[in-house]
Amino acid sequence: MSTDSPPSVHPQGNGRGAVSPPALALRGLVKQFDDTLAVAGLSLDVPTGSFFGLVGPNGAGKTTTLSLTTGLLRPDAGTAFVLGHDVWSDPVTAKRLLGVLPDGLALFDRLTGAQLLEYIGRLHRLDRELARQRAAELLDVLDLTDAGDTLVVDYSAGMTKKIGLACALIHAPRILVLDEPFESVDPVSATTIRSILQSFAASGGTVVLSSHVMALVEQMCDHVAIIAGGQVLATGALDHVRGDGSLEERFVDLVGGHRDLGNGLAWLRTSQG
Amino acid sequence: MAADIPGLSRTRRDGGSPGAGPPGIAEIIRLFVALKLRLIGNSLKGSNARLVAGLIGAAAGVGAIGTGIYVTVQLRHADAADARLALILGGSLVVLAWFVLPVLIFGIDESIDPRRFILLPLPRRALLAGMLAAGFVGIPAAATLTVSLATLVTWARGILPVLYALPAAALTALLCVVASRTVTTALAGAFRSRRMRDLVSMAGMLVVVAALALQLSFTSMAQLASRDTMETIGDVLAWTPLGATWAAPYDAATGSAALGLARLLVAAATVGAMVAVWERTLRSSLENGGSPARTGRRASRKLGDAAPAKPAPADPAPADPAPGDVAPVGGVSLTSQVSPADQVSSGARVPGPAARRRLTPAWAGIVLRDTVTGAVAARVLHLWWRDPRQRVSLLIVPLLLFALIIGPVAFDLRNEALVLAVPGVGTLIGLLMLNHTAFDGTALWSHLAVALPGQVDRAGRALGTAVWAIPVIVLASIALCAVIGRPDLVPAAIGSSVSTVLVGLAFGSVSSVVIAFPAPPASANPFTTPSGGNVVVVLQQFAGGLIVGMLSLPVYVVLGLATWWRLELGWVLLVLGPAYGLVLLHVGNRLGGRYLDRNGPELLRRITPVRT
Repeated sequence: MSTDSPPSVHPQGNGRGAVSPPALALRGLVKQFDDTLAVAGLSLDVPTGSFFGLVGPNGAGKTTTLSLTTGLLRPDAGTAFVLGHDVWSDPVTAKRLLGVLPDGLALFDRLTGAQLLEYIGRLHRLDRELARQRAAELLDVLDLTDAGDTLVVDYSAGMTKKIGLACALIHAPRILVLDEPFESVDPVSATTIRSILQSFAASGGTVVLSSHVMALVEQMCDHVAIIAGGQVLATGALDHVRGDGSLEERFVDLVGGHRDLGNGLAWLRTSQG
Repeated sequence: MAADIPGLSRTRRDGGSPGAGPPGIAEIIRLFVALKLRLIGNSLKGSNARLVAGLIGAAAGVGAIGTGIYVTVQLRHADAADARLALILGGSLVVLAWFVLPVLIFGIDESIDPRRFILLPLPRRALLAGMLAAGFVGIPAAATLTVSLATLVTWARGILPVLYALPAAALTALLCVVASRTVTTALAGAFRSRRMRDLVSMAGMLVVVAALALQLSFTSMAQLASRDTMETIGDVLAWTPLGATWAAPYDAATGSAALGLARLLVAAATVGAMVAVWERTLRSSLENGGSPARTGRRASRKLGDAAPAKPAPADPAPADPAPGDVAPVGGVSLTSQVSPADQVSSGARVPGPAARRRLTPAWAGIVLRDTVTGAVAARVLHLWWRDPRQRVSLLIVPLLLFALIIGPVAFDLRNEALVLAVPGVGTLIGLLMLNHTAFDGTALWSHLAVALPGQVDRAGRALGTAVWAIPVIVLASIALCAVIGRPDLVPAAIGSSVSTVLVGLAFGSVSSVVIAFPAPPASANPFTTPSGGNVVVVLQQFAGGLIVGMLSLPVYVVLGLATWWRLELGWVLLVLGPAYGLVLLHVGNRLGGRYLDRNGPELLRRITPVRT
């Protein structure tokens, strides 16, 4: 893909017709760890240009699904297509289209922030100067300029998240796959990140993010999938999935497990009389 | 009255457990001991490997206790002076271990971490007593206590010595536990800074290396240790907290009861002082809310990162600015970014020192071109200095070379056989790369996510190391030949040492993916090996070393021939040696790269340290 556009808020390919394949197409993904089935035959379509929220309770298989989709974890069965390219049989083409922010995996944290961004940019075959220029811009936008020459290992959790996002953006991907991008990010940075993502989606890019903050997903996303037990319980346009109620109600309804308190924890109540 | 405030009144009225007031010290001690026992029990659960490791540890502990008791009891039949010397020397080592091990094995016993009790309404005195009691639970403390109690038998030579041995044994055990607790608590704050952990990690590795070196010179040390010197050392130790308790009963047995009492007082005073220090550090640790000391300097100070990394319950002085301070900044840069028109103009200011901003160091820019391989190499080059695990290796190599070159001068040893040593160091550099991929840990995902060709990954790693190793080894070759007065051996020395570096790198290219295993985290303690530290790994590493040796063997043979038979072979070596290395490196990169291409995700999982 061309490398002359500034960072990633400008993805190419605005004018894809209706016949184009979905941004992401997961087909029958299965992954088993020892004796737990983390992802159990999961299929999902993420339409191109959508702002897609992946929600699910803890341990639903969100992270595993995203790892299987981005080529970080080999599925036991099934595969994933990125704009029609199979991640597992044609990884080079497919992965070039993706910008990935995993959760819980380290970065090359013995580099400074600026060096890390230049490094990731150059891994994407950006020219050295271009990589540096984009790195500086990303640091500026994410309010990390002052931390540009601090080792990433010394960053706080929120800063690490932001530099990880910058890494995902630097090669101007077509699709962003972000695992819990707002976790431990402060409200100001969260607003910045949201604007970046929204302008990315507005210009034709696709954003897939996982979260368990329903309000956030409801606010940002136009499509959602509710995942539990490694399977998709509901997917589609936000309004379609949530129906009349809120997403949270629908989610709790689908996933179950909510317990009515009844008279439990009575001692916790401040009994005024 | 407090009754007006609902939050306060409810506990009183309810009659539930919170209203019972703070628990007494005895209750706390009971709870802490139970907690420690439960933690030990739980640490054995989960996996068979851990259970086996735990059982082996227990068996070793029981063995140590048995041996200690046996030896101590046998000393009853020894001459009193001999028994005294043995007890002082052995005992001092034990006490010293209690002081030093928490430094080296930091993070190994955080089970009773005082910071976990911050939110509980416990008086500090009770906390102290509870932690002390819990400190006695465990094999090391049990071993120390039983073995020191066994000295009662050693000194069963009269009533007075036994009367001295009993408090001496109690004091020894108390001193040991208090010492380890004090050191741990005092260091806990320091170790929360990454720099400090890096430093200690490196120090630990150097200790290991030094211990290995000492082992080689051990025989000469043993010759020095005559009975007289031992006596002198023992006499000194007997007045220090390390040996005082072990020496006291002897004084009582030989009629100088006052002297023994003085020694016991030394130990008691030390315990008292350490408890005071412990209490102070505990207080300061608790009053700092257990929040990490902000030694990360620039990090997160003025950076609009208003959300703390983790919920710190009582952070009295947040180093982060209020969100309001940074909102305008974020807002401005945000608007300049979101409007797509002026993106290029918005950023691209490059403040700060260029060296920490650019990936490729200026001096290496000639070699590391603007390619993907060059980028990987530049990162690997940074790692050699910034990763404490590799920095140790980086520091050892020049030390070795320096010793190699200075040594002959110092001892006036101009043996041409020394020329074999430089390629030896070259092989060592290659061996340092045997498990190099694992040093990246989970960060390797970045390479997978961009579908980086395995061969580029491999070549970058080799290049990043070669870029410092080759110049260093070439200079060392020249210097050594000059020192031993054989400048005619320079071509042979250079050719062979460059060759061995390349051969080592070639094998590392394959081994660091094929037999990769989790490396200890960068800032971790070198004495704890994560999950990978088993017999198979050791065997694999050993086999790896053997293969590198065999592949380098032709180089050494030709070097030998050049040195002692035909000097012209040196020129052949200068050309063919590096060529041989390059061919092997190419093959190694091919093989390793192909393996990486096929097994990338599996490799990522394999080198991910298992959380325990």
